[in-house]
Amino acid sequence: HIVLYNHRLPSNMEFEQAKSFLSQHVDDNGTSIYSHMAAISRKIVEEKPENAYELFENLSLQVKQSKLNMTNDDIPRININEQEKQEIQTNMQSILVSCGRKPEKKPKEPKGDDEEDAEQEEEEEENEAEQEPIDVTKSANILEYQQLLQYAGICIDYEESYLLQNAFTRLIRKFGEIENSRFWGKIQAINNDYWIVEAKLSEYPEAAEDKPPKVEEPGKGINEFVYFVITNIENGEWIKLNDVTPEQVKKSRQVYRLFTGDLTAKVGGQTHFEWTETELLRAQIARISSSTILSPADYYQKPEEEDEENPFIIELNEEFAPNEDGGI
Amino acid sequence: MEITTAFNNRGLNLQEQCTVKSSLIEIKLNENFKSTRFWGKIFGIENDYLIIEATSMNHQIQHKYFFSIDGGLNFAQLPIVEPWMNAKCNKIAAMFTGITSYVYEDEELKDKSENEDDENEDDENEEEANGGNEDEQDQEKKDSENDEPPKIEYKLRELARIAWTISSINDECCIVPKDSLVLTSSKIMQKNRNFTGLNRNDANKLDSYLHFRTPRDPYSVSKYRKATAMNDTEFLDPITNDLPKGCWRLQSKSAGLEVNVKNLLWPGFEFKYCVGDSQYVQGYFGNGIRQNDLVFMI
Repeated sequence: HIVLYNHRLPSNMEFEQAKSFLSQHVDDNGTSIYSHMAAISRKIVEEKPENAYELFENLSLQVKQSKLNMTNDDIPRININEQEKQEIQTNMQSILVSCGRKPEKKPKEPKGDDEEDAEQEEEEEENEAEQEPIDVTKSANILEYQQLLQYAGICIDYEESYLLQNAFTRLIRKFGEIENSRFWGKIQAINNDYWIVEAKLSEYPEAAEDKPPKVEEPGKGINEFVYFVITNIENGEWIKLNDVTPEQVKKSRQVYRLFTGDLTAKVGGQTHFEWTETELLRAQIARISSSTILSPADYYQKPEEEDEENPFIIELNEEFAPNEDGGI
Repeated sequence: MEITTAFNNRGLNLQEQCTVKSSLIEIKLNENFKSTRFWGKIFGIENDYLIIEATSMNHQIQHKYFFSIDGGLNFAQLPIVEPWMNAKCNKIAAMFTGITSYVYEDEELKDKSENEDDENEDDENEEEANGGNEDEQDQEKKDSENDEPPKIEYKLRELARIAWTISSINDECCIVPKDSLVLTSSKIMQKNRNFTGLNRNDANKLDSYLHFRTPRDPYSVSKYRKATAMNDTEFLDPITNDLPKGCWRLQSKSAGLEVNVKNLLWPGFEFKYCVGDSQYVQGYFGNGIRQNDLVFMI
């Protein structure tokens, strides 16, 4: 029994009478004051909050609200409606597909004979594409360098790095002409982030014949590497960035804007940048790479035979050995 | 005890994680604060600063900060922020050097003293050229200068700048989900024990987040004063009215189930929250320089 101790209890009313009096005042749901006070007391005894006196009004409110929810579970639930459920489900499915789950085959609708044949052929091609193995050494490797990056303070947590690795393999599958590639980094933008991979192609396209002066040919100089960008590593598509021109690099030095995260967006601000965010991104990548990529001394050397066409070729120094005393 | 040590893809390495975790426990033992957490890292040229924050909630929200420059091995308390630091620190946009005793020279004072020397020379030349009139004016000027009491010159050391930066970041960036704090009948702020988390819709809206600071907005202050158990959810300042408009951005992953909130004024700050959780984390990994030109950049 929970005993109500009321200081102002008139001497002529006994406990039972008080209880029946309080039970009479009933609201629409059938809750009386007596049952409400009983519920509060039960909550205090069960949960034992530290400063129950302080929180008394809050507890009263919570008891009232919890009656509305009518759940008997102690575990709180998240309420989602059907549309949200669908969205979440499709998203999770696409993540699992990128991790290796075989996508569900859509049921065939009854169609004419010709169309059916065409459909079957398409399906077979898709299956073949799925099963074709790719050369994994061509893809950028993040898992290998994760420890090293973490020591430097750059943290890509394990789940993200696995999804990223899957995205890299999707890149190789999509662009077969990649020779080898490296994870260049990530640029944070307002609405979503850009993950960038730097790659060397096995074959470069021919330079356009009517190109303006000073623009470097694909595969040489500033355009030696080709960059690919993706905004959503869970289920996004890789986009190849075009080669950059010196004019774009020059202009990008004056641009002082945040990236929005949408590659097709126009670049606003004081300077008139006549290309889209894609070109700005490529120009910034070129500037960053040229200023910040380092290698230990003597790691590279000039090849023995000088190639007259391209005096900038360097190759790995096979006699490179890291300093034994740890100095750089 | 798990502590989150990575925000914005910057994080602590294994060594730092161990030392910070142990120092955090040490600080908890010595201080009587209800909650302590790893606040973040401020990059400097020679050294980086690791910061731990201790919070107490009462009628107001108060913080105490501890810093370390040796990778988390030793933490010391930061000085309290005083009003004179505001004016000085606002003008500085240089990287932190990492040396705690570094003094920031006041550029304006230097220029002023140079100009005064020049002025004195000019005055002498003019006197010689013009005769008596200039004399009287100069005398008046000098008299008025002598009437003012000498101004106290404060030297701004890096440690003070760090303290000011951290309290600015907390003031402008620290947020909590709606309903996660309650006000008791005696106006004490407390964590809401029955906070079951935001649902997916609310978590993806910026107006479900409130500033974690003693309320300043007139609307929330009035709610705070009139607080009873009924309207205790709106006594903190909302973030949607912050200027410049658009400085708060929300990103979501996993189809909206994981939410990141960032403030573009302080690049490096991140608030992470999962739908349905009652826990949230936030922290700062950056160079401690406010992005004052934001209006031109978005």
